[in-house]
Amino acid sequence: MEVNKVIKILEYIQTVGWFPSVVVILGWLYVAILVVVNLYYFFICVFKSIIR
Amino acid sequence: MIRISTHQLFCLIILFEIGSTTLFSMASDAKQDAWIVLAFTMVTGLIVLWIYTEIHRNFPQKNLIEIIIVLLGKTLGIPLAFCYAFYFILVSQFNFSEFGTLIKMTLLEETPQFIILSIFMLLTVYIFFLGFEVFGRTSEIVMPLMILMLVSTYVLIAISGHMDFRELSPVFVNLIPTNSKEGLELFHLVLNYTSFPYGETVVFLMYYCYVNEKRSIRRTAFLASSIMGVEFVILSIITISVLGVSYGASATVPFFELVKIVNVGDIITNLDAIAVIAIFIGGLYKMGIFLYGGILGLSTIFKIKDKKWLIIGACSFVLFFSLSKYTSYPYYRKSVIKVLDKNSAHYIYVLCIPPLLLIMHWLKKWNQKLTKVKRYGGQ
Repeated sequence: MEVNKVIKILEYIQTVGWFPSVVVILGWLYVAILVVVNLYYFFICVFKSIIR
Repeated sequence: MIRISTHQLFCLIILFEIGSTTLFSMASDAKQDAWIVLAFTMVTGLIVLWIYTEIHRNFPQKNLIEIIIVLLGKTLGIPLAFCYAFYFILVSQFNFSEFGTLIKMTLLEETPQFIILSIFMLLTVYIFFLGFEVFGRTSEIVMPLMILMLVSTYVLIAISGHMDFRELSPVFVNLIPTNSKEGLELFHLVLNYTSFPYGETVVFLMYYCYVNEKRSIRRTAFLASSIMGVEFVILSIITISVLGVSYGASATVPFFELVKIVNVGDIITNLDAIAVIAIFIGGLYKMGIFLYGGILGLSTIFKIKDKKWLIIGACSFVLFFSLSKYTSYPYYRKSVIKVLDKNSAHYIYVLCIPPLLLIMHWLKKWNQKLTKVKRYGGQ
């Protein structure tokens, strides 16, 4: 399963070229990072509100 | 310092949104209901536009790159800022290849691709050297001509008597999903045509800070997008009613096919050359706005004041990447669909990251408010 995924990603990079692949893959990575950061701030705010 | 008026912004948004929309049969997956999908995406597009203008309202003097760095800090922000600059350059490169190939397919069949693309790029470099204000001012001249061309084309097609509104029926058949797969496809279709062309206006976050009257930015952007939304619906209705559902979806450039049909009393005919030039101008603006957005992004990250070498570097990169990678139109379409439609760079940079940035700003404000209340509340 994991090997198939790697092959799919490599096929994608081969088809579209390195530049678009970098933009798309880094973009998805950043979406994940931003979701985590948002959740972090959200829980901090909720925590502060409860303490208050 | 770049300064543009709200009228120039309006003209730029109109030309930007016309851009490559004349090249495709939009929302053709919904068949004869494509125009309903486009009418609906106009609403979702305006919601997305509200998010962008709200981000700008919170940081009126900053462009997108500066906003990202302020919100995320240098460590997390600069790589994302790079991603945005690269995304703008990537989309501009797609548009560049698209319109270069269009000219080769329709007008200059014998001319080598390299010559067409080089001349196209030289023109772009020349405009960029003159500055973005010049780009804005020329849009004021070109926009009325483009609108006139589009409206007159629609009127001439109607006069030619090729329209058959029965092609539009039965209505709503393709918009009622019978299973979850169809529902998901419909959802993807709406997302696709929200991100393209409305969502692509994320690039204007690079320019909103240069507009003279900050207060009227939202109104201007909404007005321009609404006008274009109506235009997309009309174009879709005309394409389906003249070319039919299947040919409209499969034609390489449906608008070009439409214009070729125009024949008023055997006098007004063969307007395809004029149409291609008009389509090309739309493409030039769209490509230019994206590419200059990318250049502005890079110059903001590296704090470069004299952009000349950056312009030459970015333009050369776009030219040579297009020439080396996209040798044929079918291959180019395959790549674009993989990068922008399905996987997709548009979803990430247009629909996912800007709302997340706005929510993050709200949460930070909330956090600061709570901290202040805690600090001063106990005294």
